[in-house]
Amino acid sequence: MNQGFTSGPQANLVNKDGAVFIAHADGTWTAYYTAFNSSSLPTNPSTGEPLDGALPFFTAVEATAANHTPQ
Amino acid sequence: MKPLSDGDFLKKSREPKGLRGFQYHVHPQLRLTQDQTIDSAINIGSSNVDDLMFYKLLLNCAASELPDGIPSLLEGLDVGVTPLNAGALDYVAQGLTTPGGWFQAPPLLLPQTDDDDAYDNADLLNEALVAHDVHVQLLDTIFTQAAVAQETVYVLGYEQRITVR
Repeated sequence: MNQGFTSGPQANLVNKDGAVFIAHADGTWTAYYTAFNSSSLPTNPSTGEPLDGALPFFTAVEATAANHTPQ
Repeated sequence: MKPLSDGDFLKKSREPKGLRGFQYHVHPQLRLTQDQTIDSAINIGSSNVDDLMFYKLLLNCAASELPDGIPSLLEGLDVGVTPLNAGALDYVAQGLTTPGGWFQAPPLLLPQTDDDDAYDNADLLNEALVAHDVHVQLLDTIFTQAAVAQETVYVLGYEQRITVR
């Protein structure tokens, strides 16, 4: 998947990112996605490498410091 | 699904050579059949302040809140291990990296100890992490409830090795 690494694990393989989905009996879902700050955004959709001016993940997604109340 | 051991989903694992600190994972044991389970490792954080983990967590959301195509992809799977096809999930393409909804996990720093192997003891590790971090507490609760209710869990990710036992 689209990691935006400048070094280390490269970069746009289908199985690079992960997620967890739990199907609940009432028809709802829980979804959990993770990423690390060593990746940058935005990225080239073909190569997965960061574009010029790409920002660290923390800045790009405007992350909030946990601890938190999820949606 | 069941815990790694009695009531325990957590495990410490060292980051790749050249990096500092530890990465931490929950390890749900995924039951394929009555007699077969496989291990899984799901990120919960890092002690490396230079490469902290970020997460997005949607609790009890509607199927419409999942990335396009994911519900139909998941519901079409048989129990077992299935290779991902290209485009099965891409954070960027699916809009998961648009601003908002992401949280920075704090560095998971365990209490100081003179014994480097002290937290290889799963019970102590579980106590240290769950006691100090809300999102770890939350994940521990989510997986514990899923194990009790025997809910269906889908883990998408890198397949390092698969051991069926």
